[in-house]
Amino acid sequence: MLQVIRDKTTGWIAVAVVGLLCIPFAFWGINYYFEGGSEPIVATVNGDEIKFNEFQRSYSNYRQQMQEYLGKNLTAAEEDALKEETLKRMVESKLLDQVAESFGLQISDKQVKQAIKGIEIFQTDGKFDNALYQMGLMRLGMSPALYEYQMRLDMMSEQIQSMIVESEISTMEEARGAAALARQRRDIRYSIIPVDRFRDDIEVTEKDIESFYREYDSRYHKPEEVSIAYINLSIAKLAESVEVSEDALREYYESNKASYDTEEQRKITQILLKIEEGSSDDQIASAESEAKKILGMLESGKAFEDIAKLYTEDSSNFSITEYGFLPKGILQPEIEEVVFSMKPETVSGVIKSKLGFHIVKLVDMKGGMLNTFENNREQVEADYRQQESELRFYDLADQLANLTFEHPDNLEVATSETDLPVENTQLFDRDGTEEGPGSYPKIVESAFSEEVLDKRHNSELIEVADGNLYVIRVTEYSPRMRHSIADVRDTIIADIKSTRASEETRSLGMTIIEELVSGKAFAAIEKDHDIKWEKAESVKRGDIEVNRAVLRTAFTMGKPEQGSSVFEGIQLGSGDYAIIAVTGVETLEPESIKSKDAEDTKRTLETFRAANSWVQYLDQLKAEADINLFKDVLQ
Amino acid sequence: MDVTRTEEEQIEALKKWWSDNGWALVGGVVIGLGAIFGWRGWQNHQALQAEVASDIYVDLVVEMREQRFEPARKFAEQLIQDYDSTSYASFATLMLAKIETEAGNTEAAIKHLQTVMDETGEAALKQIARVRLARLLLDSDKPDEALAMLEAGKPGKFSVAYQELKGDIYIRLGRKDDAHAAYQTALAAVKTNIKEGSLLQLKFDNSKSQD
Repeated sequence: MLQVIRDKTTGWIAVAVVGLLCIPFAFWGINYYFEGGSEPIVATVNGDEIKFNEFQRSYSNYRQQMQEYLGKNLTAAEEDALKEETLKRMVESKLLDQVAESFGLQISDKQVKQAIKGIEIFQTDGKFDNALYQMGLMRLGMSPALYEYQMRLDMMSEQIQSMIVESEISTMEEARGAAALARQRRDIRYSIIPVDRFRDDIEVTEKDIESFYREYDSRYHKPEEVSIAYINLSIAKLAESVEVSEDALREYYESNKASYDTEEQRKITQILLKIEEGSSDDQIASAESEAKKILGMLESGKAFEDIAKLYTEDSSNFSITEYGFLPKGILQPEIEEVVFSMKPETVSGVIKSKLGFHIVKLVDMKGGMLNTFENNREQVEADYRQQESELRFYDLADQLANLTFEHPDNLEVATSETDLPVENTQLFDRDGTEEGPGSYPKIVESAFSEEVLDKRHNSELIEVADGNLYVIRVTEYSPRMRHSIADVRDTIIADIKSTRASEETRSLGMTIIEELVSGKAFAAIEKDHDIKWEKAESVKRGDIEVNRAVLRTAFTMGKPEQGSSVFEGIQLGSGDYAIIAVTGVETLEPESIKSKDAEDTKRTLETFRAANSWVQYLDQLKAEADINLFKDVLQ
Repeated sequence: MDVTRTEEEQIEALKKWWSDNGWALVGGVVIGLGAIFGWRGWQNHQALQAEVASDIYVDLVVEMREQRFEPARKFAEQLIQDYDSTSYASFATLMLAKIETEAGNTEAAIKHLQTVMDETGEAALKQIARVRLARLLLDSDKPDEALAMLEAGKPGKFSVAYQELKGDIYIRLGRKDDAHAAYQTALAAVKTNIKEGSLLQLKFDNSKSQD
């Protein structure tokens, strides 16, 4: 081949060959040839790869959001579902990236910057805060360049979405039709036969119980269960057992003093006699004398609260306000000067500011000169315990890992070396327990794993949360088992009664419907079968007086001819049976719908339709694409 | 390669090859580079055009969202006129079809949707335009044409919109049972959990014949 090229590289062919060689570099650049790819991939979309670590990043973000939203850890099944969902979203967004590229969409740097600056979590007081931005990216595990790249892709996807969603069409004509349909009313007559009507009369024989037990075998099983012994190592528990001495705390405080120094803050209550702008000298003088009068009362022993009772706030220029802790720089300078030189529980003199005349009482103070060891003792102790236990935690975690691995058949060695106690649980199934170790999905999963359950080895260290570790081993296993007939006898009897009673209820209902269809009058049926008809005239779809299932069915039934009725029966979840007759339908003419109502319906219609268009557009893209998922990589 | 040649001979051969082919080689490189820079330049120009169009498109979307259709029309027309070479022009055409529908100019809206159908290479987009076009044909009291328009394309994954519209057309044509079946197919394809109470459900329920 090379020989042939060498032979032919003369004249115009040489030109052509070199020219051709240049073209790939124009498209892909040189570095394309140097990028190796040994990283695992989770999917390919039309040849583009989704790498495992990209997946991992998205997944851990979703998981965190999900956990914050639910306020609990996810179960193993929920985690699997979330993984699927994450992958699905990533495939969709990859597809949209490809569509964006084929459309040649572009987002300018300016647009990207604006979008990022508009994100609330990167803002303080409504302004973009670069420090928050950098911190946020760190949490996401992304560089700014990567984040901006991702942002750009997202914005392109949004453009495609808005192209489809915002251009969704519906016409006034169909909106009127829809509004008329939604406002349709119907005349209904119905009766609900309660299942309890039959339940008590049902005789259950021993033979019935036995055959039902055999027939519905799977209902009467208990799931497989395990109980575990475990060692729990947690910073929180260690912290409780840290020995604390006064000297150690003082030493800790001195070397970490900076983190306890807080700004001086003071808490005040203030009385203000306000002077409006442009007040006359007389008014000012009267406010001042009022203030002096109040001060006099305070000095003669009256409390601040009592003063407030003497004035009605809205009718005068008097006001009294309790403030929280305030640092310097917030109050009027004249007031601040006084407040920050007062002693607690004392009252100032009359202070004049441009607002009026103030009297303040210093209620409490903190920080500043009050930053002493004694005042921070509680926090210092907590921090000291945390620090000491963290050191011990990592040390013990190491030991625990080694000991339980080297002695896989017991926890005794580990417990005697580390002094951490072995504790035990009751039996639990794969759904776990409400509290205790069984409430952590990771522990449940491990307890039923091959290594721990089948081989009866110690588990690895299981980190259920930051600074909280478990090692477990199975102590007892109880397989999936059939309950004995004696144990579940009562349940079986109840089940049989329910089943038969609802069958009988239904058969009565169907008999009644047959009679109705054949022309028997409502009144006659009421008498013959001891049921009661409810009448609901001209009901709307959303009527709350009528049983929901009944109403819902009534509106799905065909329209009766003038003077006759249509009938239908449904069994409700409880086993009750409802017989429904539609005796009349009031149809509105579309033209009678008010423009405003039609307009509202039109918007709702468009919203639903647009949502569907978008979902189906994505489905269509998927159907046309060549997508390979490697789900085993996710585990 | 002939390995028996001496070094001098090889140099000699190289020189000869150079004098025969040297200019051709240089020419090749020049043309190659020219192609690269020309292509890159064209790409850059296109990208810049698209960036500006993208800005205008964002403004257009804002107006559409707020249902200010007349200001939206200005942006849409600007995109179609000045940025014809970008995809934003077809996005704008799709929007313009809605703007005209809102203004009651069904004829004009139909024309715009036809343009999108003719011009876009993307099958999914073409299908969306087709269903909307058929809806407007029905609205202009041309149910037969609407049905023909729908049936000329495949529903693909758009069966909800496709079958619902088919049902509407059948109702207009007085074919109630066909309509009921079409609504049923549409309902079965709905994935979002908005089935209950949605218009589609109402239409389906209401189209049931008396047993």
